[in-house]
Amino acid sequence: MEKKITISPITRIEGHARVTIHLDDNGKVEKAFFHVDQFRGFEKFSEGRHFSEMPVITERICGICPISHHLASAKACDEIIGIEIPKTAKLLRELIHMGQIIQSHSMHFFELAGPDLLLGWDADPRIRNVVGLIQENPELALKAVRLRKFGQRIIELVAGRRIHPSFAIPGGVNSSLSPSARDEILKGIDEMISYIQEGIKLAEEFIDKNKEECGKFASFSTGYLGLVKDDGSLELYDGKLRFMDKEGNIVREFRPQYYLRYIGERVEDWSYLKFPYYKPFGYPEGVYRVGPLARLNIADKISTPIANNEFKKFKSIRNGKPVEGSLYYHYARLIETIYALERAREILEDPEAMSQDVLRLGEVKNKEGIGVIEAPRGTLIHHYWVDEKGTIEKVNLIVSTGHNNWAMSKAVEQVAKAYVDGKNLKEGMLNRVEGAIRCYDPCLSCSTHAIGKMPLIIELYDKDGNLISGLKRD
Amino acid sequence: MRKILLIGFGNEYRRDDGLGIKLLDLINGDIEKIKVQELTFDVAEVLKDYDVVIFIDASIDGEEVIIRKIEEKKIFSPFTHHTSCEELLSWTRTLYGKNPDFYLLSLRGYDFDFGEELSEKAKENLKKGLDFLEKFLENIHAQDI
Repeated sequence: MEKKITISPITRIEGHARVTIHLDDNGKVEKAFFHVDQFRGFEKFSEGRHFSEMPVITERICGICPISHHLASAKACDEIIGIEIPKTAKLLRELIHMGQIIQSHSMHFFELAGPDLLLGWDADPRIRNVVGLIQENPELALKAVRLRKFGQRIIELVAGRRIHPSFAIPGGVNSSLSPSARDEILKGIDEMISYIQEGIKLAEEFIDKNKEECGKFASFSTGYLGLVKDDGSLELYDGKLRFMDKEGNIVREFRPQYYLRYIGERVEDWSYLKFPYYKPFGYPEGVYRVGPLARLNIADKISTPIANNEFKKFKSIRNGKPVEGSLYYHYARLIETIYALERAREILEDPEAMSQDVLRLGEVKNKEGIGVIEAPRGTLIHHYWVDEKGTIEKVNLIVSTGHNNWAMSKAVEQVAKAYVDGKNLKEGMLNRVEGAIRCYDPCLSCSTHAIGKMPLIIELYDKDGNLISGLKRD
Repeated sequence: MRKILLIGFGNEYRRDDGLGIKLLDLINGDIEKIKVQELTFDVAEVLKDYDVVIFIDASIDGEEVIIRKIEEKKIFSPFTHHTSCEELLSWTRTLYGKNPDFYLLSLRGYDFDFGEELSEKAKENLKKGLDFLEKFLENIHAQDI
């Protein structure tokens, strides 16, 4: 008799995720899936609006990475008016993007990944949480708060508001940088880098102690996709898209505007979220991953010195071959945070960052606009179609969590098969399954939140749908 | 006088989900307010400086307007970036040694689809929520005199 375990965060709005684990008669995992709902509602909601509203509308998609949507949207709008924005505007947009990366990555590492890595998969769930983390290492927790606050502060100082700014507009940005803002940010960068270096030390210690697990945990072959600079180094704001195959060969580089030629989306009947893949390879051969691990896999180097030193260590893990273990996402996230801090300093030390030339105005010239950015969780694509007046006729968004959809489901299945015993179910087993998803830091609470309604429900069903056992963790 | 902070949260583009934000806009007077789409742990750094914190949010079920005092709970939200009020209380106590009174004022919402307009029933609850909150704040001030 087939049994099913469901891990389902209960939310007040659809659009979140659940895990189902199907057991065979012996209590062994037969198959497992990660199901996510899609943001199509937001795309429909945008139709009929003026394109210039999109940077402000779409940043409401996500409470955690609104800046990523704000900027991808602004880039798409630049294309609609056919304008090359001033260099200063580009620098300032990139600067708030670095703030976004810093605050988002640091929150993930210290709040979501930290309890697993620092307290252990099998630690009592009553202490395996942020409070347990604070009690274990209060200094580290304080630094985590300061890091996130620093990222938020960059956004606030440059864009005027830390949440939902209206800073990036078609053609550039709506204000220049003040010397006091520049000085305040510059003053804090070295201290923040030292905090991240502590995090890296912790991650490296974890990797040293758990080398075998890091190599095997949710480790599988896929392609990798992300932006790189012209010289092949890590890029988060602009650049060209690079696709790497599972062997580590760079098989294609293309301008983001051509994404539809290379990225297809497959529909599976068990998930609302589509499964993107690299079209020339077909599905599922062309499935790929995005985000910090993918970005470091595809990059040849990092353009800033401290991050590049860490990058060399990362590349040595598999002697230059793609690093496949999902746990390495956490390590990659920290290396990218150092890059974001160093890149913020580079921008602020560039005299052009202080120029008043921040905007080129324009009218609708093109009926399509595509904006691509590397959001904290991976490649984010905004594609708009407009009429001659600039009214939105159609929108296509491919969000980072979507690109990683296949990989998250694969990670869940692999970890469930390795650790879950349906006849002797233990909390730590299921925590590992959740941990596999956490590696990808999916944006599940985008669009809304769920106050008091996010318990973890784990239920066992027989194949006739009868509940035979259940667990709930608040 | 106790120092009070109001935090409205929710997504104004998901209709009734924006109730908390909209109520905040209706509160006048010399009171500190912040709006967020989601609660995250770094908010604790702000909360530590207040004596009373009132979170205002939409709810999917329960009464039209209800307030409850937040008790510390060591909740771990393993899939989400959202931090609960209970978690925030833990952060504030454990990290900063401060113990503000936390309240959650919930206004019942009915339509969480995409859109900016509140549903008719939610509009009524917004008015009721405003009346309730004004009286609640008056009561706090009266106790301080």
